[in-house]
Amino acid sequence: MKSQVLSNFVWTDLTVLAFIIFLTFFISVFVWTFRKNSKKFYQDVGNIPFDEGKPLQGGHSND
Amino acid sequence: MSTAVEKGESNLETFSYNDKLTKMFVIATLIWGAIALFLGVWIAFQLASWQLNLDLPWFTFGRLRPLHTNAAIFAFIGNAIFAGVYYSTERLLKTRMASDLLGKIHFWGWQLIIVGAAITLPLGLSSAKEYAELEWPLDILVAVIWVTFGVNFFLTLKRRRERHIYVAIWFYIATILTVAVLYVVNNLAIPVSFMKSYSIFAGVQDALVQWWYGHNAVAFFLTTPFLGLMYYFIPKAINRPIYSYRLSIIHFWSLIFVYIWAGPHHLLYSALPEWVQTLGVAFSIALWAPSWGGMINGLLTLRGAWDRVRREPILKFLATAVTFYGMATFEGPLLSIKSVNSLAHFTDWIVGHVHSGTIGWNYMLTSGMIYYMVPKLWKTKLYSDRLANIQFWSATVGLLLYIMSMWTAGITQGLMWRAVDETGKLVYPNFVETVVKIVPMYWVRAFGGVLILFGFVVLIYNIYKTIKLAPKDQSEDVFRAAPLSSNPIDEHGGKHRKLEGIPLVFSVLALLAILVGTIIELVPSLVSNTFVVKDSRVKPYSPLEIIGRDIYVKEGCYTCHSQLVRPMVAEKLRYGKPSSATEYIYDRPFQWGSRRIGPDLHRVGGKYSHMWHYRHMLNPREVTTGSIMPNYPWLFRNKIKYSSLSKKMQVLAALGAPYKTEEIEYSVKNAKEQANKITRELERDGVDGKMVNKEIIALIAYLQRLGTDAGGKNEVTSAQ
Repeated sequence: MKSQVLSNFVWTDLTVLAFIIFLTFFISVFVWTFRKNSKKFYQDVGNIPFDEGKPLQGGHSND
Repeated sequence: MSTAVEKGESNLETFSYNDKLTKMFVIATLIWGAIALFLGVWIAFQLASWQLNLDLPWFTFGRLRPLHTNAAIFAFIGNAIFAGVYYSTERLLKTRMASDLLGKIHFWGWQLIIVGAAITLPLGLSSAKEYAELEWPLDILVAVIWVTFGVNFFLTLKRRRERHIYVAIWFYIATILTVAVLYVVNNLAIPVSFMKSYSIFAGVQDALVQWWYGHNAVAFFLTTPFLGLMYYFIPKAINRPIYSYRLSIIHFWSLIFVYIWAGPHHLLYSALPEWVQTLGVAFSIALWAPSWGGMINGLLTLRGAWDRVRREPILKFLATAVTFYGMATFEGPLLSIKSVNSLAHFTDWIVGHVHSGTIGWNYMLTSGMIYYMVPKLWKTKLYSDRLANIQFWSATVGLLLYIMSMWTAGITQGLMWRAVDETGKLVYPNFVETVVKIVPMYWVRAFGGVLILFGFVVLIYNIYKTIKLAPKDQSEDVFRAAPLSSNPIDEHGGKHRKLEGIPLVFSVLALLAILVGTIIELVPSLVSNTFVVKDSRVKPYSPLEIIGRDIYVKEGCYTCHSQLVRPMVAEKLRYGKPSSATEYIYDRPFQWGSRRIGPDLHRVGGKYSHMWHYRHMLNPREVTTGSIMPNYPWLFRNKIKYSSLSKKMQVLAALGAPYKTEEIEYSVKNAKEQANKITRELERDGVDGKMVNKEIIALIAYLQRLGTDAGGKNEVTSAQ
């Protein structure tokens, strides 16, 4: 089976290509998240769930 | 909603959340959840005791198992996703969903699809591709409703009052985009009639597309939306931000990028090309990292607050869900390693693995989320913490029984299948020996299922009481927040425009991430003509065999029987020559299956007499002592429907089967001739000649043809 299909398939470099694409992608994301002066930004964004808007009419704030 | 600018507080807008829609989805989750779990318990008992198939067509395991999986995934978990997504999206974006009407269409459309599934699947109207069994009219409805949901979601993003998009929303965006791509591609088919179609993909290519879909249905329906929910509900429930926001970003991008490649691990040792299998394994193992990154992020958010986890049911459910997520995502990559897979594939180990994900992760997280949302939605307190704890323990113990019994059953059966003695013979040549051995485990599993279902019923009662005791005034609360335009960053027009485009840029990037894997893995196999070597011995099915195959599809035979002999010594001894890609080129849909509750059927053609099959379908225990297969008496009553035969052949011919015009024209005549021939043989064994027009004859025709072209007795040379 293996030889049968591989003999008709010439792009076996695709596995290597997949590896390179993923590695580049992963490293870029990693570097991006640790860019300079981003700490405060991520802290703020992490707190978004706790701000649902100010309740009006003194009713339930839903939180 | 209405926009008002108040004096004094510089242009705050007032708005309210569409909680009515969320409430509707919560209630739908509870109803369908109970039904899906009940179906699971029912089919679990059917495996323990075949009599529960009741000799009724719409009650057999083969038809109810697809209903169970579809109900669990799309009805129970689907509605839970929508409830949680609507609840959290509105609050994270500080806006009401863009359109109440689209929300309503989404809700009622989705319920309509579920009712459609509940009617069509037991009737056997199935396209027989796992977790995608719905036939084409329902598929179109799914696509339309999904797009409705997506449109409403993206319009809401546009109207948001929170500039930054929280990580949960990213997971929702990835879900919406990817599910649309997966569902549409996998269900591409040409209709034959109102409720019957043939997949545009055949054989190996159909398998590849199906498991690219099947695996990513797990990834983008059962995982990414729930990770989004985890990133919202865990911080909310414990009232502190997620442990590391940075980690959540790395988690997101690496997870969606890697997941899409992993599908081929469902097809190891199959007729799929080796390089695709290897890629699938490599990326499956890589999945360990992002999955555990996410799990650790969730669990570390609870650090220093474990005393609260012990006391508060909501946190108990959420923490358990994340733990099971970690366990299931550890087990998944493990199972994808080829040597482990060779043992586990086609056994109950996989079934156990699936349920540690769906029950451990989805059921638990859904329960925690409902306990969190319901008191807030109905402005009240939970009726009983004690009942919530009872559910927790009942479900947890039930799940552990489930997983452990399936591990035991799976490994036991897998080892028995491959056991070969020193003389080179199978130790357990009769398949049924390996079945009888694990039936006790089926009882344990079914009992575990009962406990899980019981827990869910307790949840429903608890929520019912909570809602009943809620205050009468359920009017929507009003909130105030500044619109995006008031944010100082927007004073510079250029920047404003740029940032407004971010959700779009983001969506495109997310789509790219999933398309890279899809294209590299799928496209070469789909476009290449030489991908599968043509073998002149492999011929398309005869007219009667087409009808027989459609009966095989209708009865859901693939839920218990594979059609794929793997290249292993034990399989060759048990079944015959390993399957090759070329043998499937006329199979629409492919029927490789994923579980061998009964033996593989790819080399069954010619193995037994017509009479053996005849008696076996009437009462399997007459020829195989200890068999747990249902009886199929209706196949001996229902007449063969010849009416759509030529239409079917036209569609198959259009898709590439080399039928000649006269073959299509005389299809009914040819089919009847073949039926006569089979019946004449059966008559010699005492069968009434009147059976000639019954479905059983067509099914026998198909079964006797299986795997004979290039692997049966007539085999001359090996293609390998």
